[in-house]
Amino acid sequence: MKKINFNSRSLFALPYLIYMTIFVVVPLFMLLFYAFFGDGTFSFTEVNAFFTDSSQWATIARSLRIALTASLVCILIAYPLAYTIAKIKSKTFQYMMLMALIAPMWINGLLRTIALKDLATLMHIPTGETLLTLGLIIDYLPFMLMPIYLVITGIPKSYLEVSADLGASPFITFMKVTLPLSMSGIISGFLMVFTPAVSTYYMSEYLGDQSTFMIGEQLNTMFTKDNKSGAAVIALVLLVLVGLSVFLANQISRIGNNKKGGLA
Amino acid sequence: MAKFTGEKIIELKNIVKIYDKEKVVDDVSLSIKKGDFVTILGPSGCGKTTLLRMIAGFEKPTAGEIYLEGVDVTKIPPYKRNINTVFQKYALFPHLNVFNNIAYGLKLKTVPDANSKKGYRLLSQKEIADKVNRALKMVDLEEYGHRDIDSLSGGQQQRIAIARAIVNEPKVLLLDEPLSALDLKMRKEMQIELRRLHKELGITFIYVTHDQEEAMTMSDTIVVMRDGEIQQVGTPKKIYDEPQNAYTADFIGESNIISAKMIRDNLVEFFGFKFPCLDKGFKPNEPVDVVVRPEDVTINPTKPQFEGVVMNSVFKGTFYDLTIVLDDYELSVKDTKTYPIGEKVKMSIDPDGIHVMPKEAITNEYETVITGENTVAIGDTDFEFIPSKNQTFNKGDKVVAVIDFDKIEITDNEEEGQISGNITDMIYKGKYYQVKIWLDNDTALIVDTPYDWDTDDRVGLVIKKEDIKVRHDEKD
Repeated sequence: MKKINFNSRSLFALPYLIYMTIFVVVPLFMLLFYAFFGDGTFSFTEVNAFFTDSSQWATIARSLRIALTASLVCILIAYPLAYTIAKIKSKTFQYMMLMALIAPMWINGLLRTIALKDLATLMHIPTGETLLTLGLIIDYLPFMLMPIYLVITGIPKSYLEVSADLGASPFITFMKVTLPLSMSGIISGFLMVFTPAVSTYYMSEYLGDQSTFMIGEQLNTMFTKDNKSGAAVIALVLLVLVGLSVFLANQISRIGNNKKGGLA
Repeated sequence: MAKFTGEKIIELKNIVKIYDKEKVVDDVSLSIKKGDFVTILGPSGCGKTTLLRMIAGFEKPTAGEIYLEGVDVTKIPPYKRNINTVFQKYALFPHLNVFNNIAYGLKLKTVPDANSKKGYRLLSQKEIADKVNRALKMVDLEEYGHRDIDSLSGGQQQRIAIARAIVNEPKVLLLDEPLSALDLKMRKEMQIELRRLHKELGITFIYVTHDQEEAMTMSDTIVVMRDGEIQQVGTPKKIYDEPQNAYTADFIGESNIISAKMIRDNLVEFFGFKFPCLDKGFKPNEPVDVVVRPEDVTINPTKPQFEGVVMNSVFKGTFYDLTIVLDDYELSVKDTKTYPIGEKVKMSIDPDGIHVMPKEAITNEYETVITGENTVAIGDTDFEFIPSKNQTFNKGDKVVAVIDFDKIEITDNEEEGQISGNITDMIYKGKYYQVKIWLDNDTALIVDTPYDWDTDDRVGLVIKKEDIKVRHDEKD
């Protein structure tokens, strides 16, 4: 008999391997199974049904648009905010500011969403795309703020001094040093906001209306109709979409660092 | 206002820099000649880097002015000064390749252009490429333009940092310990390289280092700094041969520093013997310090002046490092021959081998206040003292406490001392060590001690009440 030889270090990975098999690999295969073998035999019926239904396409486009808008607005708000906090002299004050911005996350997400809805009702803001986008921005801002803040504080002061020494004004230094070097923070912030936003369910349920029907809600509808195969197809489409956005974001971040450029 | 004389490229006038109430640079005035290789030399914390950063414009002096070619640049931001810096840690931009790192300054530069409406234009891509390639050639890295920064060795990164600075053809190049991160062999190579670049470019170099050997080999002029003040300015030879005080003598090269007495002009007494010397202008019998370089002591000369016993001999490749004892002085001597340990040898010192310097201070004169009945504040503690018969003091009186260097006892255990502080400087004076101790309230005492301490040691001090003499501060 062949002896299985675990060295002690690979043994440490065992709990995660078991976890991964049960909760990631098996469900993934189940997803594929339901999507293609929903009625017992292999068929593209469900996949075809999804892709020929124009309303499904509209839902995907809508989800992408809302998530993208929310993510971009998050960048526009979070970057100057993170930059300002990173430039505060007192570290204690920096942490206090961050704490104040992150503290809302300690409250349950559903609770926050309901509270926001009540607040909107008080202010006579109707449910719909605007409120939904606003909700996503408020909810996910800390996820954008933290990576950008960390990457800006990580830029050595000497780079900024060298830039000034070589004749760059503070604005040019920002454009040519700080911004390119903080690109990685922007990208990871973007992914951390965009990924959950594109598939959000309860946000669109509470803050949206008929016109903001998103892919997450579609998923819920499938389940209430007990259409497992339809749900599996949507899940797969979501998976591909998120994977694609991660890939694109990484490409952009590589262009941002124009290491290979000649006379840029 | 200072007028541009055509000679001085940089002038510092009474520069003071205070950080958190601490004077890092204290009233420094210095002028630097165009085309010179000037080294600012001193131990860490002496204010040399702060001084350089003020010339670059990264720091603003608390007081004083900086002139570049006769123009006051004190308040001008770094990006508007025609000065470039090579940083200690290179600080090459990680998101740009070698070419773009060097081209960084050139892309921002404007040149006069009569054809342009604005009267100036940016450099063309070809001009930039030519200049970058020339700079790369100068630092011997011609083929490295396309390389990533992280693919370079430390020495190569250092060269790129230098190329990035000199490509802008600055009026002054500042170098902040640029070789300290390199290994010894690399450092020696780069020293020669820098010397060559300085000759080729004709730019004024201001170099900051704590390495006295580096300063000696590279510079036209050395500025010795200590505790934020300039100790001496001169050529390497002058600073070595004629140190202005015991500190400089000790910091630059090996030396014997001996307490002596100036009998009269051209005659000084130490080791209990009288030596002819070239120094004059001291008061008769004035206590002085004498510096004798180890190579200036001759063993078995034709006209012996004094004798001692060989205690130790170490071969150093081209010479022997001898320790010779007379009474309780330990004299360091360099000789091409060795002598048996325990042997008595006769010695002499030529008049030009003896350098007489005024003693910096002969006793502690500590400015303080009376805190109570016969108590005076030293550091953050009240000390008892015995007033002379006709002296009266009231609480709050401004006074000077006089304590001789050898009347303060240093203890290793901080708790055993009445006050504590950190040892900052130590000079071996043949018979004893003279140390400077900074107390916790930022005042200093000088102590003569028979023991060898480490700088930065934290120690306790004991002073007996009969050894504290108090007098009213005459300035009041």
